[in-house]
Formats: sequence, C-alpha cells, structure tokens
Amino acid sequence: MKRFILIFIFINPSITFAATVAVVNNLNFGTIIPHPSGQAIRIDASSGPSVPVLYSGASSIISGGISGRIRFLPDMAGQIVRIFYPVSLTLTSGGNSMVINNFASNSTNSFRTSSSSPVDFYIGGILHISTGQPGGNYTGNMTININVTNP
Amino acid sequence: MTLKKFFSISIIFVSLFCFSNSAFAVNQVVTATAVIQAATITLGKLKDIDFGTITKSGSPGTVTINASAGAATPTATGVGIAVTGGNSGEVTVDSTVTANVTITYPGPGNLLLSSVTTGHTADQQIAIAQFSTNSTGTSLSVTAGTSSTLHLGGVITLTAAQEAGNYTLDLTYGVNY
Repeated sequence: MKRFILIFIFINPSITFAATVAVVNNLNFGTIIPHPSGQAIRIDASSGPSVPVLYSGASSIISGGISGRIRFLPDMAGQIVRIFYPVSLTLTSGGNSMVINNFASNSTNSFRTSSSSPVDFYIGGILHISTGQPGGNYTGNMTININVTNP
Repeated sequence: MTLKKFFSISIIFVSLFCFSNSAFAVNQVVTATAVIQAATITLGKLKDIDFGTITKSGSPGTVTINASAGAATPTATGVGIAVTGGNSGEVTVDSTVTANVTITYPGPGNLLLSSVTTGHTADQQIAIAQFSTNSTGTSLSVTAGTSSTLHLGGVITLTAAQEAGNYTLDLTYGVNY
C-alpha cells in the first residue's frame, strides 16, 4: 500500500499542463474619419490577417489598422485549440464610447496544432460608430479564453 | 487482492486520471483601439455677392442674381432701371469625408447705405431676399479631397426714391453635415 501511494504522488504532477500565449499585435481599427451619420467598420480576420474596411453606412476614410494577432506555443502536435471571445467590447475615450462586437464570426475560432511550432491566430470584429461620434483615441481591453485539448 | 493486481488497477486509475485532465484553458488580455477624427467642413469665400452698379429711374424695381444653376450676373426689372457689372457670390466647400451637406440661407434683410451710420430711412435701405431659390440650393454633394462651390444669389428691391450710394450687408450662410 505504501508503494502505491508513492507512485500516485509521483505521477500526479505530470498532469499539469501549460501553454504559452502572447500578443503579437493588438486589435487596431486604425484612424477613421467617419461620416457624420455613423457607420460600421469591419475587420474580418476569420481566415487570416486583415485590415479594417467599411462594413455599412456612408463613406468614411480609414487609414491604418490591423487585426489582432496572438501567438500560441503548443506543447505537442495534435492539440485542439478553441478560442472563446466576449460578445462585445466597449471602447472608451474620456466619457465617449463605441462598441465592437461579432468577434467570433470575424476571428479564428479553433485550430489543431500539427507540431510544437508556434501557431498564430487572428482577431477581428465590427466597430460601430454612432452618429456624430466625438473624435478621440478609443481603447478597451477584453479577455479571450483559450481552451486546449491534448491528443 | 494480490499486490500485483492492486498495482495494475492503480496504474489504470492513474492513466484514466491523466486522460480526464488532458484539457486546460488559458486567458489572454487583448487591447482594441481606434482613433476617431471628426469630419470637418472648411469654407472659403471666393466672391461676395455683387449686384453691380444700378442706374435708377425714379420707378421701383428689382435686381436679381439667379445663381441656382451656377455663376450668374445681375438682371434688372422695372421701368428704366439698368445694371452693369456684378456677379453672384462664390464660396468653396471642402469636406474631409464624402457627404451631402445641408446649406442654410439667411432670412430677408436690408442693405444699408454706407454713408449713413444710424437711423436709415426707407430710401436708404434696399431689401434683399429669396436667397435659397436663387442660389445652389439647400443640399450640396461634396467629395473628400475635392472642393465644391456654392453659388449665391438673391433679389434686391429698390424704392422709387432710392438714394444713390453704396449699400452693403453682411450675410451668414451655414453648411452642415
């Protein structure tokens, strides 16, 4: 019986897993001169890196911006990685705000590692600019959840 | 149970235990940013509205600048009234975004004889009106990076005993998204 307990204690620490995840670049909608009647700007990163484009509404000028890029360092090949995003994120600038939503449909949702080499995945979304949106530098933080299933 | 059996069961148990815990999760904070620059309209006056030099006749009359279709010159109505020179007003409109802008015009007013500082009589004033119908209109399409032009006109009404001299009035127009 004493042998059994020793073996159990020895094996138990081996079930602790870890993954290294790092932000390569954050989600950036660039600099926008919106039409005063408002519009939506989309970054569709569902199939790879992307840039912001007018999604709906009147014309606007968009410069710069890029999808978010996260680097996942797998422990092994064959890991199934699922990414879960918040429903929406509010960006603020002083007392003003804008909302980004539709993360899941515009971002990487899952992938399977083929080796222990790093894998990058991408984050997009739809930014909603209101009528008469005040100028400013808008920012917000969100937490994404990365679930990993080992083979 | 023999010790051998006991170890076998224990190993199976440990294996199952490992498999049941082969999934894990991590959280990552991501920052999102956007810079909003408010759209702006810039106006630049190229020409004032100039009703030219009017020769009076002792009869009432009007002078019209109809710039609804573009730049225009004054035309006179009334017995013996003539006009030389003059032009419609011109204002450039520049917008940082492509949009339709709304133009608001001043209401009716009076040009005042410049040589008189206060207490103008009726014959020392010239009524001016009908701005919007004789100008570009109440809506203008503007393209980002390209200047558009407002053409401004109106109608002035002269009295039969209108005093000679220079008449002026400042007018304020509005352009909004």
